[in-house]
Amino acid sequence: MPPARQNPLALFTSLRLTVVLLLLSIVLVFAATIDQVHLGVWGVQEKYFRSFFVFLKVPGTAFFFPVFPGGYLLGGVLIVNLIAAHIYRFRFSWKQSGIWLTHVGLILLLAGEGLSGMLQEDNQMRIDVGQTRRYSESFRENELAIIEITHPDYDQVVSIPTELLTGDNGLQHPLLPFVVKPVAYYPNATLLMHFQVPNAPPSLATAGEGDDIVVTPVPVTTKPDEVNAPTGYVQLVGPDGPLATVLVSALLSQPEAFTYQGRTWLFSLRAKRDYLPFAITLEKFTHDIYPGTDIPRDFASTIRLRSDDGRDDRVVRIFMNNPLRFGGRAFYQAGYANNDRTTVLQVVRNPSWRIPYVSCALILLGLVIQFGLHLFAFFRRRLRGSAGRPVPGGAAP
Amino acid sequence: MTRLLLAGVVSGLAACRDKDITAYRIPKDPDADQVQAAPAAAPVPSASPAVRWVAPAGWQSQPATGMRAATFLVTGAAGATADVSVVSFPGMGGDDLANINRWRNQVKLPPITGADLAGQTQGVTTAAGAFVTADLAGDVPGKGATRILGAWLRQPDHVWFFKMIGPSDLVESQKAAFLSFLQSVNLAVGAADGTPLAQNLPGAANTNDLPRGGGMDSVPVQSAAGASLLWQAPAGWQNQPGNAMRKGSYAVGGGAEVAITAFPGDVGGILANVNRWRGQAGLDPVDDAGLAQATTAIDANGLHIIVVDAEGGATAIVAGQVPWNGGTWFFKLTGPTAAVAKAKPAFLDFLNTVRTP
Repeated sequence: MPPARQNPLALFTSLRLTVVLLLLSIVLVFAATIDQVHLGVWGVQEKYFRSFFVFLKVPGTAFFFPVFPGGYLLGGVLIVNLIAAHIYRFRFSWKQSGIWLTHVGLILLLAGEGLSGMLQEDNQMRIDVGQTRRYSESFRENELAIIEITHPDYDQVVSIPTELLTGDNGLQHPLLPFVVKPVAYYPNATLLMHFQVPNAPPSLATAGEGDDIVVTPVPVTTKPDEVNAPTGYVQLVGPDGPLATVLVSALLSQPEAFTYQGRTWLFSLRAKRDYLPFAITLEKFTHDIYPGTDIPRDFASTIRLRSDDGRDDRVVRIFMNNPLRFGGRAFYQAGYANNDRTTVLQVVRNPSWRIPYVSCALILLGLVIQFGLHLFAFFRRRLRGSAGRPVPGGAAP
Repeated sequence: MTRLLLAGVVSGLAACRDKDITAYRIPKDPDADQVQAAPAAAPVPSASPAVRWVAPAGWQSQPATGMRAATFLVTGAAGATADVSVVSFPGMGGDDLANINRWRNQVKLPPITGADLAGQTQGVTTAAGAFVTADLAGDVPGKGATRILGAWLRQPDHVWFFKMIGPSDLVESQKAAFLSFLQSVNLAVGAADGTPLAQNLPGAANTNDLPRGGGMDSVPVQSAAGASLLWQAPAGWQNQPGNAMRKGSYAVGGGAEVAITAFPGDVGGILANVNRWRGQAGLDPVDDAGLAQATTAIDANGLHIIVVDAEGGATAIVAGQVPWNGGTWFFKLTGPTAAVAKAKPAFLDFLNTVRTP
């Protein structure tokens, strides 16, 4: 291997670099684990692992400063290191084919996990017994759904990610005859009626029921058993200026409505929905526990699956470790609520879900080949050795 | 841990997940997301405040809005109308005194104290639970004798408010209907026999329809960031950045400005737009016959721009509108009459520079 000072590329083949990267990874995982108390599991993933650098805010300012390499950087360099070392150090021979396969499997595993981070979508589906659902909802992402209900046959939905509500720019879509201008956005808030807070300032809303509601921003929660209630105000602007300002909130049981030019829209701030080309009806939910305890032994959902194209209409039982895979999604039995009358399914959409299986198969095959070759060589040496060894009790030469 | 670490592989492409505005259609399928027939089960508390009722004949259902789960319009003699609302609110929704005084205020009655509360409310027991009801009549300036029939029903984590407000005579005539409406209320939380709600529905007609849903019929639509028309503004105009509503904005002197906006569709049509501008300028509207006289046209670079000259009041408007790329683009010069008159030649020259990309 050429020395690093002669060939900078040789740095990437260094085993020392591998060790340093692994040590940094240990520190990163430790720090993230400690910080999970403050940020929650999703916040930690975004800050420490799905980032190139871990940023810390400079106290008293709005500036963020990178203080440590993030997961993307460490993982990316690690995979380059692995490939480079492999190219520099190893020359292909049948004796090393097992090592080759094992490394290819390892690289594929790393790449597959990266693809999962990039492509995987985790949603949930809560269905009451007897209820039919055609969409799943995101755990973390929210949307402002502007739903035109004018047409008798369908609702036309324009979905605006809540990330866009934090800016000042007007949002425009060809299907909307007005510009949606964010006025205020709170990731978490509570609502009270105005009569409950007599001294509250006037509402920003000029239409709907929002002018009788007081919005109080509250800190974002990261606790796994709590949910945030995103809330905000958006101003609708027509060709000649502002038309109305409406309150949007995940806490509103019915969204605000707005009528303009003979068309009516509802403004619903809600968990981001993923509509499915099929319907799932929960027919039965069973929940068994170990006798004398509250520990679940088994819980299962018996669902009826009906695809819109009419090709599928069947009853499926989803239970722990036995997901339903359909329509590019996997439906796992994740939980239950409402005294066992509501099932909670985790809906995972991950086009790269097969890669870890292939990776593990390659690693297993590589290890079997490598150890097999060693074992074969060992037996050959042993056989050869026993063939040349003097026979006990035989005549000395 | 390992899985978390491995998630860092490849690149920050995950951060590139689309945060764009999207659009899709949902068929109005009455079967979807509705509670269907299910095996009988013990009554249990429900996390969702689902509710069903049967509205009396003659009550016209209106779109649900805001905090309202339902709105009905009740029409009486001589076009008098009363408003019926059903509102769900998380929490306890204030105590009885606060509720009564809120409604008393709406019919301009003075507030009462807790000592007087007993005579102000009654109780009505239904299958859904025990309602507290109130019948309040007052005199509202501009509206005359006004009456409220109200009721609230407390649930563990929600309060349901049912209220009819309108002219006293009409509300009085609807009192029996309102009480029967309360009797028909069926809360998922309070379904005493655990029977699925759908079985209690006598029919789809005139009942609320919660929630809405249906199968997906995804329709691709054009991107929000569409192409833009191009133009050449005169050197003397000052670009005014920072207005997110506009495609362009210029100060043209003397307090007049040019605003460029674009909206999908025809935005009501040429006549509606012309009359809107004429109204803003203090001019009378025109009809189809008068439209030709009120407008001129500029053919610029293949675009047919309709120009409106609405000058006559303290504010003058000269505006051009042109359909393009599925939308309508507006170029509007507005301001004090003198300033607009001065800027008008340059504005018309400016319209001649408008072109497609």
